[in-house]
Amino acid sequence: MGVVLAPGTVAAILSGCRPELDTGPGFLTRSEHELVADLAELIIPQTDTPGAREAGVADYIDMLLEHFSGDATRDEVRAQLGELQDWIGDHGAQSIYELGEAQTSRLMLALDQQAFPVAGLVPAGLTGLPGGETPLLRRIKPWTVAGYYTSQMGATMELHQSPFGAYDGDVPMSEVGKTWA
Amino acid sequence: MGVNEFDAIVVGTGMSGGWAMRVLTEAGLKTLALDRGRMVEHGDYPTEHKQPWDMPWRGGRVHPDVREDYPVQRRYQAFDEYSRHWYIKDTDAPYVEDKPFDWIQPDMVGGKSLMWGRQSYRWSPVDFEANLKDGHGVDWPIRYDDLAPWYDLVERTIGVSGSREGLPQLPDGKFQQPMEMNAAEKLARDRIESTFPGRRVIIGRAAVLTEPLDGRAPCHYCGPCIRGCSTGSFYSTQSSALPAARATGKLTLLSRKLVHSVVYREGRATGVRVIDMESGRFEEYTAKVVFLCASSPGTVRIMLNSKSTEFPEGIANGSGILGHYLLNHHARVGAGGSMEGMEDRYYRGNRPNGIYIPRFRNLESDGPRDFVRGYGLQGGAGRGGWSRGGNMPGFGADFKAGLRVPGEWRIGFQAYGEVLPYFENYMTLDDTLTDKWGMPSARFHVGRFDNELAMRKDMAATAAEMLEAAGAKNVNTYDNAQVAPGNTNHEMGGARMGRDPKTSVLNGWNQCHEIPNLFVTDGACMTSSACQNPSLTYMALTARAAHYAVDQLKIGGLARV
Repeated sequence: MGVVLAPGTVAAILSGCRPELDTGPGFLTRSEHELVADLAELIIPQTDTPGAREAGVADYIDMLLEHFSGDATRDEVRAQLGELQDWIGDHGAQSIYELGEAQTSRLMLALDQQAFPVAGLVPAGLTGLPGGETPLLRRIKPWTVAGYYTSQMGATMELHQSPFGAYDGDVPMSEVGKTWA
Repeated sequence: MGVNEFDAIVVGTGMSGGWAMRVLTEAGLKTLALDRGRMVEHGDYPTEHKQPWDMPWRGGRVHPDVREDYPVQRRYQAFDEYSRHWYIKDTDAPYVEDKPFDWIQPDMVGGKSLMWGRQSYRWSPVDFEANLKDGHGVDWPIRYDDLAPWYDLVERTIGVSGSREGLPQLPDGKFQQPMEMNAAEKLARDRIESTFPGRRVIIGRAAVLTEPLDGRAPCHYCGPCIRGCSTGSFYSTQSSALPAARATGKLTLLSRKLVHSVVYREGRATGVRVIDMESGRFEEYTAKVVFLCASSPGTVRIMLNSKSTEFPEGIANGSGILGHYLLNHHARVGAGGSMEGMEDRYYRGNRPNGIYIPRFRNLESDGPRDFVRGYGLQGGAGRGGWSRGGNMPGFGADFKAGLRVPGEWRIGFQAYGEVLPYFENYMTLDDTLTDKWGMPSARFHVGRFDNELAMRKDMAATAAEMLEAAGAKNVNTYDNAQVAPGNTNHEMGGARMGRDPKTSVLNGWNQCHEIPNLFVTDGACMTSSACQNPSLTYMALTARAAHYAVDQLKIGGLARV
């Protein structure tokens, strides 16, 4: 970002006050868009193939919010992103990645457990996480997955598409190698 | 002959109309085919082979601003960004639901032949004899043997891939090579067939080519047939019937023509009144013979709207049953589960076909049950794809690597059951509501009754017991009984065939009892529904009736009764 904002300003922007400076092209403000892009990249990171950020997943999620979501969903996601940004600020950082690898991991684990509880797993034990009726990653994760694997990078670099031609109903997995997009 | 005078008129150009126009033109009749929908030439398939990232909304849901115009069509599972352009805009063509009824309608030349599921099963002797034997509905005026040679002709012409099984309840046809089952389906088949003698698991019989036919290429397994197929690998009006009819030089095809009514004079249908949908003006076309192939509710709507002094309640409706005994199939009930093992097996290609368990209930070797008739189960197996990630714990490089490998095998069956003929299931014209062009709208009164509800319990139970026999784990049944009639397509009845003019509209040649040159050969003619997908039977009935009409015209046999 070209303009560095004080944590309090970011929180104010994310909690609903949206000065001209921070508007984005869709529903999300620029800061919200950055936060969503970070979350998506943490879910599907760059490895030997591009990650969610490079595949434009935040734009896809912004499209879903702008065109396919009701007010209740939009309001809740906006509030949760604001709370998450506050949490990051309260822990002395401006972005998730600035929290450092260990703290970022703990945060992601906590958000993931909140959305996809796994029986028997020790809770991440973080407090002050975003609340709401539908946990944040209950929405962001399926949106990230859909946005990534329906992108050209996700479908053709990370996965591959079944070639046109014959149908073979029983092929050794080793010949195919990976999931069909 | 004047410009508006023809030998034959065919109303509708889909599954049935395609066959009518083909047979009539090939016999040398100057034929007018009319369709309410816009013209679509073969290859004019705007979303064929499009990738999700090529689509404005990533190949998903239809944008809410557009969805608003499709309050009914959007209830259908295949209504999405790739196929929306095929469906009728409900706001232009509203109808009334006394009880919920999903009338899924195409809006182009070719009709549902461009959208159909392509499953192609013959009816059996059991199906044509059922009404007579158990007393539900009137007796069919024809038997399987009357239709068998026409099934042969239709299968050879459209191309149906399938396996020969020698089953009395699902006669074999003239098949191209069958498609292959995948590893999990083969395993499930072996286990189900050894656990339940009398039940068979077969590959779907599909009007999708596995061998070349008349310049059409075998399937290239891209997957979503509903987007159109420029190689003509699945049967549609555009890929087969239309080029054949055009080649005769006898076809006039007019699109965006809403047929308002059949014109009746002195014992005969003399032609049709049509609304030109661009100008809104009425036009009249005349012919020696008229074929109605506008879909069951579409045809019945035209007939009810065709009022004359002799037929004040709709043409050929001396019986008073026109619009009654509407039929459909009831489905959205079945079971699913996962199959362990076979992690080293996968498949290549998107097979546009599934597996099928032919009816096994209430046949000689089974029953009686607490319901009559039966059902078939359609299903398939496949490995989990990337979408499972949306509902999975985890994140990061491990999560991503996990989705690079296909998930476990999943298998499921959905039942399609016969619906009995009920007088109480009917449609009329609404007194006040009209479509955008001023034609009275349909009003539906269609429900399900005890036989269907009892059958549904058995459907879910047998789907589950067969999956368990197949070795599936975590088997779950479902019964989405709230999905309205109509949502499974397969609209039938309303102008049924029968032996007695007092209780039926059509005779054994799909000819109106009361008007010999008026034929109805789409789903409206059906006297019972059986449980098989009906399009193949509509095509065979149409081919048979059209040949009959041609023969009768030659000897002057379609004159006044």
